[in-house]
Amino acid sequence: MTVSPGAPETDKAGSLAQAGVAAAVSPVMPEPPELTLRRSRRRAVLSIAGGLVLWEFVGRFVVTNPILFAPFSKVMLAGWALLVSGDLASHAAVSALEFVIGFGLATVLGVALGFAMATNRAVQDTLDPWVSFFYSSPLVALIPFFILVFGVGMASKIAIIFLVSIFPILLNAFAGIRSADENLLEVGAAFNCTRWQVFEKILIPAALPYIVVGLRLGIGRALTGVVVAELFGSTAGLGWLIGTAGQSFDTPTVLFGVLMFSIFGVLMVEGLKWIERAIAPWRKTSQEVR
Amino acid sequence: MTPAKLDVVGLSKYFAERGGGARKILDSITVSIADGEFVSIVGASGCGKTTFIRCIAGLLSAEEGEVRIDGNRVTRPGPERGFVFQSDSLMPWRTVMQNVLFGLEVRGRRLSETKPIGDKLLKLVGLAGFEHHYPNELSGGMRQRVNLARALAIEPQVLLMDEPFAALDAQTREIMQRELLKIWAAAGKTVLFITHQIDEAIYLSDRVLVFSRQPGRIAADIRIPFARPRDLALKRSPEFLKYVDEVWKLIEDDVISAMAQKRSDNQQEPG
Repeated sequence: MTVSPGAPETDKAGSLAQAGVAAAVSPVMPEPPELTLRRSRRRAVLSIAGGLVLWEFVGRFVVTNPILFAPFSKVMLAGWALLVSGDLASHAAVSALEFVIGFGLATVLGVALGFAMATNRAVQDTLDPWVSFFYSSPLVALIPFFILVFGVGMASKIAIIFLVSIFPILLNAFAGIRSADENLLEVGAAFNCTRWQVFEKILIPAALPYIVVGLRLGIGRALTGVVVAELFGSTAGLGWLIGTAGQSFDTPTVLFGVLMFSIFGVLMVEGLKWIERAIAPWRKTSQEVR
Repeated sequence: MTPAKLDVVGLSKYFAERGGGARKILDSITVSIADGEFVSIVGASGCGKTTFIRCIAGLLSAEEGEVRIDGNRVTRPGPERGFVFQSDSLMPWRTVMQNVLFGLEVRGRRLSETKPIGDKLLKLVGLAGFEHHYPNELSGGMRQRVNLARALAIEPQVLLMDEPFAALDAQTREIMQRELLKIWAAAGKTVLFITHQIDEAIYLSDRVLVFSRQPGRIAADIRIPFARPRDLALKRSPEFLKYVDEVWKLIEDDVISAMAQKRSDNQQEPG
């Protein structure tokens, strides 16, 4: 190996020049995903804070008529008063109980009927026209009827919550079973699965993401059901609270009640996402269904 | 002469046509496959090769003729036949290990006793260490390895493979062919392998059955004499190419008529 005396010098100069070029171009490295996540979280928090400030500003300086609007601080004060008096807890408990019973029944029966329709042609043919009819009907219009039949207590609310939320759950459970991959069903056949094994090991896991979507849609409809039913005729519940506050021009309490429903809805949907992640870890890398 | 492991006698299959009537897909096919033999079926699309292997698996039932394993007639899927699907058909909600052990699980075997079988198979197909991965975390080649391990788990005597490498890229496919021969040599199974790639069929097999189309018939039964183990370089040897040429000549007309038919079908029903 023969190296000319000048070689190291030029080598060094060359690499320096290269380094200089590299620095000048300065390639933009892709940022790690956790950084992107942190930034979008920060933006979300800022957005919420900004929204609250705007609310406060509009309530204090733009819409000054206390009947038409209330600033955030007044709404929080109204909420504090309800909390201290114990009214918030008792009314929220009534609404929550109605929701849990109505939505719970809708979930169990909706999933069961959806599965039955998807696996039995006769059941599907029989129920299909009714499901289509009720799914497209504005079922909250039945509230006066239910109040006549079941009274102003919890029963009429549970009935309407059940009815408005069962159809999206049923239809998604049905679609979930139907969407099961033909190839996987053939695997079931090739490995001599019994009908029950096909159902348990292939159809149900395949339907799970669809069922979650159905539940999410059902939550939204069920919450609307609670509010409207309680507004229309009731003796307790957050909807009743909103209704009576509205009649006495207590705008802060009205807005606080609505805020409670929104927070409850968000918590339910987030809870559902959490459950989905816990029971379906294989979906952790897949995208969120909206 | 070694006794036949798999016997197909006079097998015919019809498909119902729109507006009544039936079209013959397979025309009284008779073939015998010896224990431990590797047999491939090639043919133009529409020659009924996939229908044929599905009849043998018991996923379809034939109108005429029968399928026998060790002399016993079979009409439904059974544990003596393992099926490797064209699409990997893995359950996305099951880990690699759970997918491999699926066939044993549905037969009521406990995980504690099947786990060692799974470990052994994953090692055999080169996926040791991936048992807790989900299919969506694997490449196409890896998923087909799991597919193969799943079929082997029930300890079948006959392995039925329906174009298992069709969806893989050319390089992965070559590697998988070599791996399959290794696994076949280690496991000692009788294999029936469907493919539309002539070189793949010749490289892998002891015998290549060439199917003609409409209805499907065995046009030729060609013995492939190359010594084993076979190197991938064999595919570039002139002797090998002579066999490729021979098979190609047999199906060339079929391929052209299949293409022409597809074109006219497309003109009749756009989209």
